[in-house]
Amino acid sequence: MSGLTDLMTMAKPNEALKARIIALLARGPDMCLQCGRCTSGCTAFRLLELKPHEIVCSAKMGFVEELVSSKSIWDCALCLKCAERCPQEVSPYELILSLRNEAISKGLEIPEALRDILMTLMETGLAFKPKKAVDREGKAYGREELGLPALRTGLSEQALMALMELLGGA
Amino acid sequence: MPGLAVFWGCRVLSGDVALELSVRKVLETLGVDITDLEPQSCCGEPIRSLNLTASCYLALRILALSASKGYNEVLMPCSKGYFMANWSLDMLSRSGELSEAISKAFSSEGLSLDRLSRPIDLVELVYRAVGPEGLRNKVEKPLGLRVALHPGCYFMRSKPGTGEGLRKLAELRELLSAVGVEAPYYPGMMDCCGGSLWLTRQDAALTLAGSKLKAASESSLDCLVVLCPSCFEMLDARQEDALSAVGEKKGVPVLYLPQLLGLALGIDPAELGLRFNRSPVEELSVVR
Repeated sequence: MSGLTDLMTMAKPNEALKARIIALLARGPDMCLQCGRCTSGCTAFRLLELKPHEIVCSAKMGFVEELVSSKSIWDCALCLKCAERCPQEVSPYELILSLRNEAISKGLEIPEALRDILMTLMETGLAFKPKKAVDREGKAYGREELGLPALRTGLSEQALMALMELLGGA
Repeated sequence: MPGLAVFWGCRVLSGDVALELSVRKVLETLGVDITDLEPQSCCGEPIRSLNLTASCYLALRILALSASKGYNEVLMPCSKGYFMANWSLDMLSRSGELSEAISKAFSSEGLSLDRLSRPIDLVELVYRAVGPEGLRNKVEKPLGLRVALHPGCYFMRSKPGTGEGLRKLAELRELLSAVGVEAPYYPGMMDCCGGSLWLTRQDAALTLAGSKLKAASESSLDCLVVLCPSCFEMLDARQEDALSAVGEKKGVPVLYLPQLLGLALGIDPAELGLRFNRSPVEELSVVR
């Protein structure tokens, strides 16, 4: 496929980057037949400049850089309809996540909400800080007031180390 | 013989007690024992976009931790946690690179990929423990409701491409019918609430939630019923914003599935955490 050129951007396929993007995927893009079933069911269809089957097609052909910097990968609702519908066991959902991973590790983009979650995760081992429950009148209740047992939460030191190593290696 | 561990997840621990209270109460009434898995930690779902390996590590670590404490199965009432467990298992079975990285991450805690608890969700648990007939026998107050069931992406598509979702939906409908609840199809039933889009596109996420609420209203069904805390957040807690995103005013009562089951089992609404629902649940006569 190395003879291809994207006539819109004059880009050449980047096979090494493609290999990295799809290395972990259980259901990578190579089996795609471009039937378009993913796109026909896509929740975020109206938001996407590049439709799911186009994202898969570009990735399959090795035009990955454009996808990594595309806004479309951040508009995906992660609803899994594409993966459910694909007759070829391709998961555009997984591919989009992998492209997001690459964009973040390149420093191209990191949504603010995700940054907050990561901070909380490192601090507490949970994505959201444990807090009191507030009822519809605005009254706050602790767990014991509701008859709920106290629960230990958090990640062990070893798990936190392992997590940081995995995140650092990205 | 160790029984069943339960992994609640971050949303429950950060204040969404309606799910926890109602699951505990319903299972107690049905005579199903659960033991809290400790310590509870993140299932990895919120960091999928950041790093696939790390998010699968967190999900599988829950299964490994639970197995190391002797549990064969772990109940995951949160659909996102349940999906993360199943998806990570799928990824693991297909990618040598991933299993190598996770084995290595597990080694410092003495955990192993060879010993993982099996994740189960609430529908499977209730179906297996008492089944539709057993449930019917315990009903104190047949509900006589027609509801807009919102199965949600992570329940319906926990194992994409396998047809598992439709099988689970059929079981769920049998359970609902046992408590006097009909859950007919309505346009948009299988659609997404926008929960996962909230992280990156809040405006679009609210439009999706609003469209869902509008669809439920227009189908003249009694209330929306959800399984997942992320859906509950979008459709119940953020209902006002979601409605205004689509120019609607009419509120829709939103109940968790275990709250609905609990009402039918004759459990006091206060014990099912209904005061923590923001949507107009008082419109339902079964709640009063």
